[in-house]
Amino acid sequence: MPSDAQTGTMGAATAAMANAEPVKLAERYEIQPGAPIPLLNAVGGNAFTAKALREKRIEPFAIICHASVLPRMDICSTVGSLDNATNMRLLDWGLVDWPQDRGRRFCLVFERPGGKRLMGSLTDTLDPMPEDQLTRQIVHPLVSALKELSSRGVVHGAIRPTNLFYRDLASGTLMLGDCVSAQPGYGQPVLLETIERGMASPAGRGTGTMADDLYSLGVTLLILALGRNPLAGLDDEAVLQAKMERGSYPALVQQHRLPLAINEVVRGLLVDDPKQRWTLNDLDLWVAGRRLSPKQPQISRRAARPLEFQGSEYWHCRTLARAFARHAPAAASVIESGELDKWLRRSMGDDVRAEAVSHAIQTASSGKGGTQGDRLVARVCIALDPTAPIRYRGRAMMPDGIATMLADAFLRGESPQAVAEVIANQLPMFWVNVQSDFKPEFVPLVQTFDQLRGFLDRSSHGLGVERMLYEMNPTMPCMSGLVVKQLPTSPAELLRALDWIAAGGERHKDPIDRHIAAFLGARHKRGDELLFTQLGSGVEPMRRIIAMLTILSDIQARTGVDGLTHLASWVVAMLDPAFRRFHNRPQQQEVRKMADAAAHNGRLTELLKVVDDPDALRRDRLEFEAAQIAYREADAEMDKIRHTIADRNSIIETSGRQVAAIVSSLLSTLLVAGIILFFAF
Amino acid sequence: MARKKKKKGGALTLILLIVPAALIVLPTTILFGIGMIPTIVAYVVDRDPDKSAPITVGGLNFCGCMPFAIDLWKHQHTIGAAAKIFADPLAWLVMYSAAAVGWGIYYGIPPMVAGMEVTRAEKRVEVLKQKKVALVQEWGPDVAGDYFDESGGMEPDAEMANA
Repeated sequence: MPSDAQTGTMGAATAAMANAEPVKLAERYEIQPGAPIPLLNAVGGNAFTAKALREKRIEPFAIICHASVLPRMDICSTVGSLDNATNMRLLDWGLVDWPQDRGRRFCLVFERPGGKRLMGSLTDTLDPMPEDQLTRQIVHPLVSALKELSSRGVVHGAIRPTNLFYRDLASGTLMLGDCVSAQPGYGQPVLLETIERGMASPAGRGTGTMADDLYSLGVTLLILALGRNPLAGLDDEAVLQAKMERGSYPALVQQHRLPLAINEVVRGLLVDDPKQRWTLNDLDLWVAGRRLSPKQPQISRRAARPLEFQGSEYWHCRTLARAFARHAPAAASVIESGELDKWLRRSMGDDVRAEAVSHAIQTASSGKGGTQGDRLVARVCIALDPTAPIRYRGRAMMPDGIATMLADAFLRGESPQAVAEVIANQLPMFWVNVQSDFKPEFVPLVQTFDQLRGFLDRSSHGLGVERMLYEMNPTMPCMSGLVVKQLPTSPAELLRALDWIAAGGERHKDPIDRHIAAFLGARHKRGDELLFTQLGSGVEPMRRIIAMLTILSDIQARTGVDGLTHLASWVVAMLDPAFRRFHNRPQQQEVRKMADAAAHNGRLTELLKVVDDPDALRRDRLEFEAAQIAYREADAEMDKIRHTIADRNSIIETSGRQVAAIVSSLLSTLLVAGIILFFAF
Repeated sequence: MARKKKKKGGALTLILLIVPAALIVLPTTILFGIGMIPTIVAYVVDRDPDKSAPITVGGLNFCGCMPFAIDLWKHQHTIGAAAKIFADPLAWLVMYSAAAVGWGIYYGIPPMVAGMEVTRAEKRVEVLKQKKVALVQEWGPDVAGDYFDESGGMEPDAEMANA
């Protein structure tokens, strides 16, 4: 689990950064790569000293996001416009050229807090905060901050004691740290997450809801009230187990005595059922002084007799589902033997759950990818514990966290196969179907996954799991190996990145690979999807490169990115098959010259017109056919002549004799005339 | 059948016209009959249906006989005068030498004609070769193919080798 305030040692990379030149973010801020601020490091990236170039009064710092973490760029403008002193002010954001890896990184510029972090680590201890201080310093400001976030539809996802900072040294007021450098819940310890989200992988927790933020606030209040982590000695697994078996409030508070008012709010915020959990309105009322009746923790149904599985006894569906997900092959045999059904009906006495499991077993055979056992166990786990994340082949993700889970797999260079199979096997739809409470947001969710499954069914360029990645994550930069260092987030940036790559001489590959095709398919909706089908390796090289050029030129025309001379030269170097479509060699040379000229100007549309001119090609074809006929006629004439002169005697016998007769006749005529004249005169 | 009848009719007409005429000018007939024996021989030995040998030999042979026939017509058109001509070896020499020249033409000119014709054909072949090379240079080796290749031609360097 990544942690805040990593006070890492100066490694070799850091040492190399020490002398690096400052980098600029849009001429507004200057970031010093050689001046890290480890105390302000975030989960999503490390902190560096920054300087405002325009507004000198501001003292900013920058978080340079890690290459393997996807920041929440989609909410940057919302967070940047927040007018609340409790949120760390996001001043600017964008991409910067980062010297460490000679590529670009996401950069977030924040207003620098005057004081230190409230807790450096969850293992730290501090003096227990008295009730009034908690109310004044934490609850009051955070409630107003959360209300503003809620009104703008933003979930913070990173409320924890280690993400609270003193605004300044004097007043002791606190501010909530960054929530954009990583996805919601990505850096949250399991302790601060609800049971359901805690069961999911950090990258698969999804956006969540305000109720999840309130749960985190409840745990934060508890830790600050106690002055320490109540489950400090336990690992994540044990924390989850304790929460599941006893409920969050009993598991976390244990025998500790909290101030009465704080106990009330903590109890209300740590209710495991999100419908019963305190809302922002409840908190508002509490802040206003109204005291609410304490919520009683709900105890999950316990079986009369345990189910033995893998040497352990399980009394609850939730813990059993969790064990099943961990030991899928063994679970499959328990499910198929009917033992689970018997246990649910007889020991648990839960016929509804048993029917859901039975439906899961029946529908497990449908779907594509993975083994039957994996599909079966995943569905049965969902049926046993409907609110838990989808668990499939060792990965756990909430339905709204599938997108970030997929993005995380690509960012880390791991196989996205398991996540793709979750969608191919329609597990999100099954998850929605078994929920006891229907929510309106499920409808678009199901529709989206249905559409995404369509992309998975076809594996040609521009589709497949890559297309799904970019469709599900609107801010995902293109992950193609060609351009990933440049982190292009739009088609225009992609063109510039390709031009940059071409300028470096890396032209050994096609400029459009599967990732780029999928990225453009998702981000450039006005493009012709059929062109992408011609990018496969099985397609004739000439058609492939013309399709690539058509796609790139269309994007250039629509985005207005000029001066792509290097990219155009790269394409020209690959256009040999297209040039050779012209049979006429002088015209071929002429087209090459014109293509070079168009490439020199960096205009792909012009280049396309030159190499794919239908009129010129038709004319060339007609002239070529005429030339073929002329060649054949010359060949036939040569054969005939050769055949004729091969038989010399025949020439002598025919034309030779005829010529002799003619010569003789002419000579005779002249002689006769001469003789007559001679004798006449 | 009709053609055969026509041929027979023509020969009959010829006999009916020529034989009396030949009898009327008997000394001339004798002169040409003996003087043009090489032509008659040529007609007999030539198997060519066009009968180019008697035409070639006959023309000059006729020229060789012509001065003696005129001489006969100018002085005495008698059988004796005709015999007197044949008594002169020079007359034989002239008539038969002319026929020999005809044979010379018959045997000398055809090889010359054949040689000229071969030379001319070779020149034409050369022109056609150059035309083909030019076509290959302009259109590539595929121009010699039987089909129109959509994917394009060969490398430009390969065409000269093929041509």
